[in-house]
Amino acid sequence: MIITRVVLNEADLDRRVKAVARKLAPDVVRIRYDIALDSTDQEALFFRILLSDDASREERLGDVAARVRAELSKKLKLDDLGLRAYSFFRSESEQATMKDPTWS
Amino acid sequence: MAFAEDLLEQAYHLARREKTKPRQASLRRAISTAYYALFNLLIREAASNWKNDTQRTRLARSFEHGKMKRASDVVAHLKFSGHDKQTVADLKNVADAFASLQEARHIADYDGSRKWSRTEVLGIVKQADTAFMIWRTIRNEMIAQDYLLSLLTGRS
Repeated sequence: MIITRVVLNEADLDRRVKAVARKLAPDVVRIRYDIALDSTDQEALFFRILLSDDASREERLGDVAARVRAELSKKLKLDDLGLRAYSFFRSESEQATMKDPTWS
Repeated sequence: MAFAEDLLEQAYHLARREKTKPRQASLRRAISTAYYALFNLLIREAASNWKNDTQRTRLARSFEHGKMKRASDVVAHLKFSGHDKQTVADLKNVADAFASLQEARHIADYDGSRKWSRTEVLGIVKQADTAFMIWRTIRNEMIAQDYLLSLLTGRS
């Protein structure tokens, strides 16, 4: 269990996040996340979303990102949880260069 | 173009600079600029409701980042009833963009260890751009006007 203002079942959260990633494949390669305090000391979900290079193209990025945010909000019922979520997007080729373990 | 729109254009310029290897300085400034673009748009909209235009600049200076984020967080999770669903979804989108951009700006400006990629930054700038477009369609709706007032007070 992760204790926040709301009580989240970690396994259930994992399952839902993976379901979003599967649904939005192949645009979404994988989704990692943490629960941490944001700049206003509120507990929040920080999503790191790895996109395919095609989905990361500037012409597509805005729509793809909006779709991922909406799907995460719906599947995780963020409105009901009252938990803020922040989403960050990288491309596969950027991650291959940056080799950031928190995105692996 | 007005100041807020100029800032948004500048955010894109910074995010697209250095074609092959973007500098972290450019990417960080792009995030900060995108946030301030939306910040200035919403303040301009709120202040324009003040009848005496010579006092609008003073009123605009009364807005505080923390209160604006609190108000945006509330709107993003508020249950609106009796309002057009699309308008509610659009308003929540703008409020969510504001809170998200402020958080990204905080990380970009204060966490020196954080490395940004161009895709991350363009995603953030595009979120601001989308908020600008949506705002134009809902700016005259009562719930949008209520949101502007809540940005000043920090309460809905």
